[in-house]
Amino acid sequence: MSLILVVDDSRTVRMSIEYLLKSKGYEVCSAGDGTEGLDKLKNLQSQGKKPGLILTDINMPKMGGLEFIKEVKKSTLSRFIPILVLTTESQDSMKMEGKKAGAAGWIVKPYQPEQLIAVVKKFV
Amino acid sequence: MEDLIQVFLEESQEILDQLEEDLLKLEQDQGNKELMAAIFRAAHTIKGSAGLTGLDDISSLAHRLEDVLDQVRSDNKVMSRECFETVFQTVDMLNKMVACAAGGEQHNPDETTAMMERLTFFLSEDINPIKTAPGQVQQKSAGEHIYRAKLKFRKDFFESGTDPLKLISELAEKGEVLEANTRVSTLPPFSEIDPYKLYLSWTLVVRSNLPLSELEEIFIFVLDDNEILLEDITDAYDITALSDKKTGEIMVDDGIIDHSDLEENLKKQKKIGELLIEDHKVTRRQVEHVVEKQQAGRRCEQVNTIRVDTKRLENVLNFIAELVISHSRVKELVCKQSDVEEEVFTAFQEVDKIIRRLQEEVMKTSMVPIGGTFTRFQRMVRDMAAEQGKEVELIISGQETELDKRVIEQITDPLKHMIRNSLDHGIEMPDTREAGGKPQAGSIHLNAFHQEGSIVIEIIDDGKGLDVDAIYRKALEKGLVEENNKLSKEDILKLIMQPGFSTAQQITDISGRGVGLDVVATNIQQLRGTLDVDTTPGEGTRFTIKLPLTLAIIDGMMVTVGEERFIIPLTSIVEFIKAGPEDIKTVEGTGRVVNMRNEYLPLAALHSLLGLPADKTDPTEGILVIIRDNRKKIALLVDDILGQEQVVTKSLKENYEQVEGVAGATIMGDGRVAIILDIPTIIKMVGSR
Repeated sequence: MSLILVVDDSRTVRMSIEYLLKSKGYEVCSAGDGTEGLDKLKNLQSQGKKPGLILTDINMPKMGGLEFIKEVKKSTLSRFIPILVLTTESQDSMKMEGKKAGAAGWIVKPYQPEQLIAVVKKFV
Repeated sequence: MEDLIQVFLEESQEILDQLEEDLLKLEQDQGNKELMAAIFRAAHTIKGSAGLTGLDDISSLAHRLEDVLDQVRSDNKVMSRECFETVFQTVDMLNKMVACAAGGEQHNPDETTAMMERLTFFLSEDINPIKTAPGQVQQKSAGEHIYRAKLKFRKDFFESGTDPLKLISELAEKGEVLEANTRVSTLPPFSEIDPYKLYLSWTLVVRSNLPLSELEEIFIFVLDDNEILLEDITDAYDITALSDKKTGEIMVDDGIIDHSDLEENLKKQKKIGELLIEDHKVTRRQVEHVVEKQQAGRRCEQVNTIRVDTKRLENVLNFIAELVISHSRVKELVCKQSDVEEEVFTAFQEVDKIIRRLQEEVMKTSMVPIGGTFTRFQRMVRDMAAEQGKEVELIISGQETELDKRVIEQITDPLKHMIRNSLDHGIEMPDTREAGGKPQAGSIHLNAFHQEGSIVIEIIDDGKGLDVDAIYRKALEKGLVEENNKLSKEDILKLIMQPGFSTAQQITDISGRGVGLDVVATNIQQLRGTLDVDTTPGEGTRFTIKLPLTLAIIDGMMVTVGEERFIIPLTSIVEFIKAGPEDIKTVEGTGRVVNMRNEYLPLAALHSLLGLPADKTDPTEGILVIIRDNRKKIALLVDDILGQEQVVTKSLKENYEQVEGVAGATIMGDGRVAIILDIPTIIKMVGSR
C-alpha cells in the first residue's frame, strides 16, 4: 500500500489524518512544518522509499506550505509526487495559490472522513 | 479516537499558554507582524483541530477569534484596550472549555454565545455564515443519463503528479462505460517522445444515474487548466442516427481523430477509377471516357468546380509572389540604364499590371468565406448560455468575407475563446439585464469585412462593458503598472491582454477551461494581426481583430547586421530611434536599458542574440528598432535599415529545422536569402536572459 506524507503544524490534525489513513491501510509519515517535511522526504529517499502523495498545510512556522511545494517540485526525485494542500473555508484563494505553486488539488478543513478518503483515492 | 481528543487537549493547552504570552508581548509591541502572525496561527490551529475532534463549541469560538485577529492583521490596525481585553477573556474561556472537555464536563453554551457576540462587536462587517461543505447538498436527479467526456490534458500534466488513468477509472466507477476512445494520432514519432509529457487525449461515453455535477466533481482539480468537456448527450445519443454518418465523421465525434487528420487522409484517398486501373480491370482510356461523360452531365446542371490540393495552390502563389519580386528587380535594373526607351518602360508597366492581377486571382483561389467558421459557434453559444442560465443570441454578418484558408484555421480557436469570454464576463444574467432596461436576451455579434488589404473581425457584445477603473486598480494590485503612471483609456484596456490578468471574480466552469486573453493576443500576433478593444460601460464591449489577408506575403522592414539581412514584420515595429550615450543605462542584473522619452526599454543587440559578427556593436552607433508584442516593448540594436519590402515567406521548418527567433526566410530579388524574425520569440528570448 502507498505511503503518504502529512505536513501540518497541528499535532491534532496530523494525528487525525494519520489515524484515518492508516485505518484505510495506507502507510503514513508526518512532519510539523515544511523544513521537517523536506527532511522526511530526504530520509525516505535514503531508504529507497518515496511517498505516493503529500498532504500539506499552508500556514506553518519556519517553512510554509507554498514554499514547501515549490521545493518539492524543484527536485527531480520528487517533482512527480502529487501534492494536496489543506485549506480552510476562510482561505479560499489558497486553492489556486497552491495549484500555482504546483499542487495537484486541495482538501478543505474541516472535512468528512469519507471526503478526505475520496480525494486521496484520486491519487493513490 | 479517544487518543485523538487527548492529543488535542494537550496541544491546545500548550498553544493557549503560548498565545497568552504572545498577546502580552503584543500589547507592549503593537504592530509586530511576526507576533501577530503567530497569534493568528494559534487561533487558526485551535479552530481546525477542535473541528476535527468534534468539539464544535471550541471551534466556533476560536473561529470568531480568528476573524477578529485576521481583520486586525490585514488592516494593520492597532488593537484598542477593549479589544485586547475581550481577546484575553476569550483565551481564558477557551482554556476553561478545554479543561471542561478534559474533565468530560459540558461548558455552559450561553457563556460561549455571549463571548462570540462580544467578539463580533469588533468586526466591521458581518461574517459570512459557514458554508456547507461541497458534496453534502446534492440534488438528486432521476433517470438515466448518457454523458460524453472529452478529456484533453496539458502536455505537462504529469508535473502535477496526477494520473489521468485514475481519473478515467473514477469516471468509469460512476456508471457504465459505453465507449472509450483514445486519440493516438497526436503521438510524435517514437524517437521524439518525451516520457514526461502527455500526448494522448480521451473521449468516453458513460451511462449513469448521477447528475452531471457529480461527474464534474471528479475533475474538480483539473477543470480550470485543462480542456475537460463533460456534456449530457442523452437526447443526442442515438446509435441508429450513426447510420447516416460517414466513418470519418463518427471518428471525429468520438475524439479518435480530429478534423485535420480526417482532411489530410481523405486527400490520400484514391478514386475508384484509379483502383480499377491498378487492378488491370479497365484501361485509363476507359476511365477517362466515363469521367468525361460524367463531367459533361454535371456541367449541364452545376457550376464548374474542381478540387485542387491546397499545397499546389500554395506553390503557385509562392511562385507568383516571387515573380513579382524578380520582376520589380529587373525593372529597377533596366530603368537604371540612362537610355531606356519610353516603349520598354511602358511594356514593363504592362507586365507589372498583369502580374499583380495574376497574383490577386491566384490568391483568391485559396480564399474561403469565414461564414462556415462563424456558424460553428452557434451551437457553442447556445449550449454555454443554457448552462449558465443566460439568454444569448449570436448574430452573424459578413460571412461571405473571404480570407486565406490557413488564417481561418488558425483564428478559429482564438475566436472561440473570445466568444466564451464575452458570454462569460460580458453578458449579464437575464434579470440583471431587465433591471438595467435592456432586453432579457443579450447578443454577441460576429462581423467580418475587408479593410485596406486586411480582414477585420469584430466580436461585439451588448453586455455590461468593461470597468476601466476596476481594470486599472486590478493592474496596480497585480503590479502590471506603476502607481503614478498616467494611462489613457486605450492603454488601460490593453492591460487585460497582459498575462496574469483576469477580471473574473471567480473562475467559472467555462472560462476557467479557456485561456486568458493574453494567449489569444499572442496567437493573433503570430498571425501578424492585431487585437483592439473598446468598451462603453453598461452598453457592451467590442473586440476588433485585424489580420493580413494571407500569410504568404509579409510587409517588412529590411535591416542589416554585419553581412546578414533580416526582415522585421512591420506590424511589430513601433519606431526607430538613434540613441545618444546619455540615453543608455546599465541596470545591474537585467542588462542595458534605453531611455525613450522617459520610458525605459530593455535593450538587446540582434548580433549578440544570434551570435553574429556586427559592424556596429555600440548602441549609440547603430540604429535601435523599437519592437513590440502584446505585452512589452524592447529596443533591438541593428547596424542599418535598408528599407521597406514586401517579401514571400518560406518556412524554415520545412526546408531545414525550426530555429528559435526565426519565423522563416525569404529570397530577395538578387537571389540572396534574408531571415524573417519571429518578434514574439525574440522578445521572450530577451526577457529570459
